[in-house]
Amino acid sequence: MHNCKEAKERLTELVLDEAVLPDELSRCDECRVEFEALNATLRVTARLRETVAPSEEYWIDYHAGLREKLFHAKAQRSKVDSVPFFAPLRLCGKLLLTFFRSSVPVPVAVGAAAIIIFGLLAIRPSAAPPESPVIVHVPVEVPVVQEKTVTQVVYRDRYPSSKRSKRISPPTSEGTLALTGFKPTEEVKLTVIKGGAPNEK
Amino acid sequence: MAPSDDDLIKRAQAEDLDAFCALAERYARRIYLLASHYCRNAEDAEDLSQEVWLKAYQALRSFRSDSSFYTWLRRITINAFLSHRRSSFFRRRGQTTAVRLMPLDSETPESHSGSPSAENIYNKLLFENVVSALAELTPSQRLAFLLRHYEGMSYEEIASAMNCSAGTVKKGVSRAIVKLRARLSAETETTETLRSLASEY
Repeated sequence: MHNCKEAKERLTELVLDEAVLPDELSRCDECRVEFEALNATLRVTARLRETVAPSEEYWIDYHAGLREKLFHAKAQRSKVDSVPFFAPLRLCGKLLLTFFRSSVPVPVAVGAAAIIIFGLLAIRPSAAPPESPVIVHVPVEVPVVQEKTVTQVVYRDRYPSSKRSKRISPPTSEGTLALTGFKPTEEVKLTVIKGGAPNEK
Repeated sequence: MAPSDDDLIKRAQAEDLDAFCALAERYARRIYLLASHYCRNAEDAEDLSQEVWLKAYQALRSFRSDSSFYTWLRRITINAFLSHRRSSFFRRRGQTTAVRLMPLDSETPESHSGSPSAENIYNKLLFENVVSALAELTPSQRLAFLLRHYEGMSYEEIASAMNCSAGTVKKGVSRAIVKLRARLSAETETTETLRSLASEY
């Protein structure tokens, strides 16, 4: 059963494709009239395309204006090119553009999953405790001054030297007798520095 | 013998401004025509078409001859049109004034010559009707119609360029043709009267 309303959409496509009206549509007066009207509409608009073109004088001005704009754009570009600071920026920009423009066929599901995983990894708080610093034991030789305390009992004469000569008994062969008449004096602290010169202290 | 597109492109890529201007002179009319149907007034069409050339000049180094120069240029044109659609500049002019009617005896880009012949007046009226009908469409529908009807692009090509489905493009083109057909048939009587008046004048 022919339906003119449904056929209208098909008619526009036929007109645009410059096709002839099929038999089943050409039998319908309404469709045929509509088809011819649509054809006429497109013919008119197509004709307009040719006839409403601007005059030659207009194009002279148009191209002069365009040339001026292009000249400014070129000057601007060469100014930017001459600044060495922009060179690495431009290179980075080009690389980024190439990266984003390159078309690699990736299924939507895989792409979405990758984005979610990377997103989760990025926002996930770090669960592992921070690692303790590694301690390395290295023996280091440090020169240390060693001290040694030597205590020695020294006896001194109790009496003045004049009397002493009288009282001094003649020396005997035994050492213990020689110390009679002497009293132990205060302790004398001697410091021996190992490694020092023999007459240093 | 005129240099080929490839020669001009190579020279233009080597910073030869004259070569790029020669390319612009070859294709400027096609770009302007699209812009004039898309923008609905001459000033916007001129600005937009020149903006396309500036963008093409800046991007020319990236042209790799994978497609023809015009196909590449048309892609830039479509992107420029779509980005203009989003810009406040275009909305400001586009929504408030659907068609800027010029005095019939004025020098406009639409006129073929300086003298207002009957044919010129008729074409001008027709053009204003067409542009007015297109103004009732959304910018995407309008662009889809222009690309299909004037540029002969397939629905798939348009869908790819406009980043939408082929079904959406088909619907837009169909709506555009129906709108144009309704507007032109409704205005036929008036236009014919004016045409006869203009011929008498």
